[in-house]
Order: sequence, then C-alpha cells, then structure tokens
Amino acid sequence: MTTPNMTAPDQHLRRTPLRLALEKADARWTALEDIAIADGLGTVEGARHLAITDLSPLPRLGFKGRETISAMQKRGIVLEAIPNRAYRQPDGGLCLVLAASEVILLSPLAGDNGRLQGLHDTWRLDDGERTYPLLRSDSHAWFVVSGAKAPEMFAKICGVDLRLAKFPDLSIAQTSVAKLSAIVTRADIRDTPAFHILADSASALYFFDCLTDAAQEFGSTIACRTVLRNLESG
Amino acid sequence: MKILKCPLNGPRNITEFVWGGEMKPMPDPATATDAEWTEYLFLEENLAGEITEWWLHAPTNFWFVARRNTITDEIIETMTYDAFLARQQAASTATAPDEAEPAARPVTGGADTGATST
Repeated sequence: MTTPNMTAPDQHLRRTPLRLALEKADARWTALEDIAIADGLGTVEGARHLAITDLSPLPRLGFKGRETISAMQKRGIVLEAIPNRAYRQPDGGLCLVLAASEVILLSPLAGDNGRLQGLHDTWRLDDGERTYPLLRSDSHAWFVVSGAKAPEMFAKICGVDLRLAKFPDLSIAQTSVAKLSAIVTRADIRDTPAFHILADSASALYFFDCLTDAAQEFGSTIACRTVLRNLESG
Repeated sequence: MKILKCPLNGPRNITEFVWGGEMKPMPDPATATDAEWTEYLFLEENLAGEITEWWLHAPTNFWFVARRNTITDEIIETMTYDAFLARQQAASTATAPDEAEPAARPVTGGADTGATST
C-alpha cells in the first residue's frame, strides 16, 4: 500500500534510533519535517491491551536551572514546582517537572508546529535567565507503553510500583528500567493507561528489545503514532 | 534488595545509587598544601559509627546527603544538600562560633525537604 507522503528513514537528516527494529517489524514511514516516523503498525485494540510505540521522531526539549519554573510559566507553559509531576498542556503536549530546577517538554502526538524549536531558538544567554535549554531529542529516545497490561509488564523490569492505583495519572518516576536509567511518566490517553518512557537514545535498541521481550508473554504488539492518535480521538 | 530513600525521588533500590564518599570540608585549593589536598581527595576517615556521606541517585544525577551507621550499615536519614546546609546554619547560630559543629557532622535529626536545584 502506498500513500502520497510515504518515505524512508534514510531520506531524512535525522532518524529514530529504533529504525532497524521498526524496519524489521515492517513499518511504513511517514515524513515528519526532517525525520521519518513509523506508521502502519498495531491496532487500537492492541494499544488498549499492551503495545509499545516509538515516538522518538516527535519534538521534545528540556530546560534546567534554578529559575526554570518561572521561566517556563513566563513562556505560557502550564506547570507548578512539584517534582516528579507531569502537566498536560492546552495543545495536548506534556510538561514533565523532574525537579524544581528541571523540566522536559513533550510535543503533542500531532506534532507541535515548531513550538518547542521556537522555545529553543528564542532563548538567549544574554537575557540572564537562570535557565538553559537541553536538547532531549538527541539524548533521549521516547517510547510509549500503553494498555491495561502495562503495569504487569513493568513489574518484571522496574523496581518502582507502577500499578495504576499506586502510580496515578501524571506521576513521574525517574528510575531504572531494564537496568537503564529512565524517566517513566504516566499520562493516560483517554481511558487507556499510557506510560511515556524517556531513556538513553544510544541504548534505545537494547531497551526496545527488553521491552518487547518482557511484554511478549502478555500478547503485546508494536504500535505507531497513528494508533495512539486514534486512541486519543476516541 | 536494600532500599535507600532519595530526598527527591523517594524509596528506590540501592542499585540505583552511587556512593560519593564522606562529607568533609574542602580546603582552599589556592592555599592548601599538597598533603592537605591529597588527604581531601583520597583519604577517608573510615569512622566506625555514624557518618555523613554524599550519595548520588544515578537516574536523576541527584546528589544528596545521607547519615549512615558504618557498624550496622543502617541509613539513619537522607536529606537534600539545601536541608543539610540549613541544619548546619541552625546549629552554628545555636552554638558559639568557636564551638560550631564541623561541616560533616549535623547535630540533630530532621525530616526530608523538597527537591533542591542542581
């Protein structure tokens, strides 16, 4: 099947670190500015049960520094100075408050029309704000583990209790998953539990292997952004 | 699995943490002798009993302070560095300046505080 905007990862300047694994899973690819994002994988039913999705091609940006919270509020980001808490943004994105001095901003599933890049580009050292941007798109891969079976799967590879009653929506755990440092954020998509994971991009293939291996016994699938968007739109 | 309580992230497996050495006052690098600087960098007091140490929560790169009993290997308490400094200041104002506690010996127990900036 072909669609007008089908593409291939090597036709773009940037690539998801999971390109090889997703190619093996027979992903189709859609252009997203300067990167290709996997498509044609998984189903909404699968995502409600247990699915792993790569969102690494979507924009994300960090800020760090003692005045980060006020600097973000000045930029219209919705957040409070509560560490390990996520905030949904009016555009559908997420703001993860990792500490009183550090945040990560995640794009909405639909993309952010260059908003995060704009925040990065308009930051000036000369402004003297005690905050500075961090290029989290380069440092961290971005996965979503969705579905009712996700907490059970995480119990195999993560020491933190991620059961839905113990780890409510918009909680964050900065911990070790499959022996790799990871930021785990629960941000449900409508009524489907969804855990966003940010982990070292250089170890992304290893991490993806660990996730798919741990999830296999629960009948997991690999999904794509389109499936999550369908989940989001109901 | 041993559990250590990070002041920022809460209880976590001990495998998520890295020991950072005993807390001790840093000599002035400009005026310290080679012997003093070497002692600061490489030599530990290795006290048998309650000591104050640096610990790192590796997934967040968050440094904090812990008091630990080296005989029982029990973690007595953990706190942010800001909380540690506040306690030091409270102790030094309550004590005459020449009798103030050294930097590595907080004198009272205390609760955790929120996150500190890095």
